[in-house]
Amino acid sequence: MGNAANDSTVTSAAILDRRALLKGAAAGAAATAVGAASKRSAFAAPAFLQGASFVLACTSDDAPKIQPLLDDYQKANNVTIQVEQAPYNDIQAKIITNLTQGTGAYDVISMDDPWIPQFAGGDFIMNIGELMDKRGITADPDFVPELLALGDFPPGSGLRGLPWVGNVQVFAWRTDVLKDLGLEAPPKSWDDVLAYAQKITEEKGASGVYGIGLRGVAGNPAATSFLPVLRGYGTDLFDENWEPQLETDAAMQAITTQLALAKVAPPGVESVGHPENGRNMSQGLIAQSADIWPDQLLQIYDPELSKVVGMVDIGAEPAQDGVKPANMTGNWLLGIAEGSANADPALDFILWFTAAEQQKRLLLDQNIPATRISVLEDADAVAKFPFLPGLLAAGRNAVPRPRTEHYNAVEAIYGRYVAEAIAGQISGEEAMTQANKEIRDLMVREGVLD
Amino acid sequence: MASEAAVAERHATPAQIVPWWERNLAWLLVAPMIVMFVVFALLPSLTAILFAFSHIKLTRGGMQRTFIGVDNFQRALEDPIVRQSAGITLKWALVVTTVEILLGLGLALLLAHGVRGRGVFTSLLIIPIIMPPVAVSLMWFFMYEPNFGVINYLLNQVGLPSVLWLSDPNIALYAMMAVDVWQATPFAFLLLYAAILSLPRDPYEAAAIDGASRWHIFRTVTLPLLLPVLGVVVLLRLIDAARVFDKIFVMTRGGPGSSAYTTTLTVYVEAFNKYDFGYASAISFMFQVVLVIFGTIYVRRVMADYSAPAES
Repeated sequence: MGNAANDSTVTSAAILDRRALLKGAAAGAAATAVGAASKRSAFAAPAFLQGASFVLACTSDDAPKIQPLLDDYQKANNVTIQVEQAPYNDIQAKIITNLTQGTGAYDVISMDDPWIPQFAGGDFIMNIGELMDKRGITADPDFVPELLALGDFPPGSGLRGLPWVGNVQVFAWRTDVLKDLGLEAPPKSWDDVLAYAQKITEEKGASGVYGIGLRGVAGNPAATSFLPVLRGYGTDLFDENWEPQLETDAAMQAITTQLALAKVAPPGVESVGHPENGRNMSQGLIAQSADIWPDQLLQIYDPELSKVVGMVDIGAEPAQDGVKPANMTGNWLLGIAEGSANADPALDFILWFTAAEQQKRLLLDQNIPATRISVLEDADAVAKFPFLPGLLAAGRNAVPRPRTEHYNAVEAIYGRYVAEAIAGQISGEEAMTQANKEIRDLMVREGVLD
Repeated sequence: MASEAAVAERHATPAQIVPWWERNLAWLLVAPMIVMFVVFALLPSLTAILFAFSHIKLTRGGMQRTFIGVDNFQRALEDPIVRQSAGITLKWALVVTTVEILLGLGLALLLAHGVRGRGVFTSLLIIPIIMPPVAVSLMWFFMYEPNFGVINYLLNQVGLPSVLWLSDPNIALYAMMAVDVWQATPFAFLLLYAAILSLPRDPYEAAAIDGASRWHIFRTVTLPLLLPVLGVVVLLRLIDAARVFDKIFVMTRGGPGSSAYTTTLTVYVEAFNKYDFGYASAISFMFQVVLVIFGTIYVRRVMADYSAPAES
């Protein structure tokens, strides 16, 4: 008994110790929670004093550029804007994941125009045209009509976004280099571009000036560099019935030209992406590129960043005889996530942010191209960026990428095969044939084609 | 007497005295881990398996899932990029593991034999392990940069031409392997170094008395004694190397072309560039099965030889 009593006492003491420990831990946790709560309540403003709050998702490239405007808007309107940012591919994946799962994590979304068919087609984003109708307002006619129309998908169904970055792909060339070699500017056809590129690289490559700049990284970069060539040969990724067109003669000629151009581009074209191509142009390494975007132009014309200020001109993308030249859009639009609990303050913000005053500020202070005619024609802006009239003309003549909700997958497919061909892994013909088959398989799987 | 009565009462009806949470304390303590395992491992795995047999269409507020049987698996087996990426993954895992083990073992032997300043050297070797892979990849990306990277600068200084480290399809994969070797060799080194330091001294003394050469001692004493640890290091490194993603993603995104597409990168492209979650899940599931089969065979066949004998 004595032993039992002793055992029991020991056990009881151990139990008490453990209990005390657990209770102490629980009390500590509770105290921490209460402390945190009381701390929060001590510092938080009463609800009636707090303004609206919403979350804006954008790329990490854009976030620092728009922050000054966000700061001003927050101060002036007692609004809190939380910015969620990530690099291009990551923010796209995050936005899609959040929108499809209905997490309500984002209210305002900055969208690349190729995303619109997927986002609008899947009802991921609100019809802000309807929201504007309820307020009795319409989209300002000052927006470049072709850029505004990118937000209307399916066409005629209403605006899903308002454009805030007027991105248009343009053909850019070095006027001094072409003049020096006796080449007529600008080259009209892709045959001209290739001939010029070969001549420039041959004569000036040794001194560090190459005939052409293009992007060779698999996916979006290689695809975006190739699409203007493909279109310049009179075809496109799809015909009007969504039948892929990469096995056509025109596509084969286009890839042949693209591979010939890659050979006279600066070494390492396989790993050139958007920043590198822009830098190659602004640093005087390349004399032509069909894949220059306004953000790069703004650098090319910036004396602090560029070695070729005043030596670069821009125009429409080249096209073979009989093919109408056109540029390609790559605009960014602001939309509102479907199901957002902050649609009204979000719309207020979008209307303010895309107004001419803010667009001009973004252009002059942050080198972000405008989407409004008045800003692109503004005397101060044109004085600083003489290419703006050309950019406006390109925007009026711009064509978007194929408007299918499957464009991300299509681009990933042909962007990889073009990159493989540039890297010498496969021939151009194989690249087009296999890309065509994979894209067709995709469209069949998705029920677009039989 | 009162105390004895209390003890007797406790023994008679313990359930009435010991509270429920204490009776189930063991379960309560492991419950958070079980919940985390179910939520973050089991459910996602089961969902991925379900996706692998489905066609997924993203819709607002969820996704539309259509059962398509083994179509995704059949497609994966016929897909050239899946086969190519599996080959690249295998090559990556074998090459980097072999180099890392050899270098790690060499360094461990060197330092274990009383090199001066080994404390400092060991501390320096830990730095690559604690650096985030993305930071390491960015650092090497800039070092490999063809125009202003330090590596080409040094090559030029000694009269050698610049190399397109990340743009040449014949070089890029190996250049990225070198980064993995730089970061993971210290892991192999640390484990093997600790193992060497803990080896018994008697066999070495006996070998020395017999006049055995250093190579002979290494081959007949050190290596056999190290094999159990070596086996574990090889397994850990092989599995980790086969899952490589971050370094390749940051430095070339699988390029030039698709010359550095590993299986994980292919899964990423299918899932987050093409948004084909069903197909990505099927490739991922197949990859997981291969790794599990490999790991099981390795542990049963290779590691079993070095495990402690079972008690009779």
